Amino acid sequence: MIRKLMEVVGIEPERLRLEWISASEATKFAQVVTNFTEQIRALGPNPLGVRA
Amino acid sequence: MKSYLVAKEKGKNTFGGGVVQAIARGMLGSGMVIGLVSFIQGWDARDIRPALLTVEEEADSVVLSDYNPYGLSRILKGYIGGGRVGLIGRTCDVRAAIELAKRNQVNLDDIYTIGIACTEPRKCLSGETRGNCLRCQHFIPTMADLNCVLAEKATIVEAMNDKGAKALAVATVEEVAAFDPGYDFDQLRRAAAEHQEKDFAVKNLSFAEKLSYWFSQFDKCLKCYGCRNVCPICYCKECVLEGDRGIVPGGEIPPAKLFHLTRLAHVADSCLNCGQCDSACPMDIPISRLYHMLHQDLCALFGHESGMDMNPPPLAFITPQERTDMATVMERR
Repeated sequence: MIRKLMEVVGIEPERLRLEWISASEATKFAQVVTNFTEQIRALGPNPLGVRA
Repeated sequence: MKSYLVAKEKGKNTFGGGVVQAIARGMLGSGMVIGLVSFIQGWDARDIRPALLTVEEEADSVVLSDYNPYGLSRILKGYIGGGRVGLIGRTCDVRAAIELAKRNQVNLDDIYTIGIACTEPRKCLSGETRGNCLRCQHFIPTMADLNCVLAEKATIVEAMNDKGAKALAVATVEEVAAFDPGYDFDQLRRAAAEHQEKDFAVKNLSFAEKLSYWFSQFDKCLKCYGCRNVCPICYCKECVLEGDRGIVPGGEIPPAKLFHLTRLAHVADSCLNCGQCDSACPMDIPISRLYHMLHQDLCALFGHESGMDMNPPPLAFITPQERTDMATVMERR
């Protein structure tokens, strides 16, 4: 639903990601965070952060 | 079963043959309800006020105007029992009552809902047609206990359940020959679809354009909280958007974008497109357009429409399919 909301108001839904990672899955956690950070960096700065 | 009725004793408001007023009189007179929430007329036809009628003699003051300045279900929200009450409202009022019931804000067993069909889009105070009503495709309140379609001289009434039948039984009405009220609901539905297409054109813009459009709208916001205060389904006693509630520091107002996006996330799954937020907004922000648009996307996603039945809202439960999907994900680990 939040993805749909973002789409409707014009924020790229790729900026939101939900993953279930157990406390014992350190490698997976690191991997997901690195991937996501890269993805976000590619999308550029957050349009919400621009102060009028 | 549909019955074609006129009231035996007509009051001053005789459009529809006075049937709704006769039902109100019957319900109050028989002690079936201790109060009826409805609109009454003040000084003139544009002075329509929400009211709680408690005695039989007041039944004649029930007006069914083309101007609905308030979401009547909002009044029911604070009601915590002590007797049954009735609601005489339009489809969106009835749907709001159902949405509130799903969230345990009202008990539908205590409320008789008498739905009045919209045979044309409602008007604003200025006499202009309301934008949300132009988009609305819910004309006949089939989810109400009693469903009334008013015509010039008589009313077509359908009791949708036992409660509705009981309410109809106490009214002093007589049956007339079946007739065609001459309303073309299919035409209205087509017109609404066209209006939706026009109003939702903003959907087809690029992400950046959409964002700048909505943010320029949000930036007009004065933070009067009017949209929240009139929303029939905004039911939190302690709103997260008020100061000192975790997001906004005490004594401050929330940033405009955060204010609207938070409200949107909170009510989009139960928005009824009743348009009270639009009417309340002093800055003419097209709030209901955004909510309606998102609600329709969610309808397509979850196959659920707000206020139509007592099925729980889509985000409140897990389907068996989702449970299996989740188990598969867990096993893969």
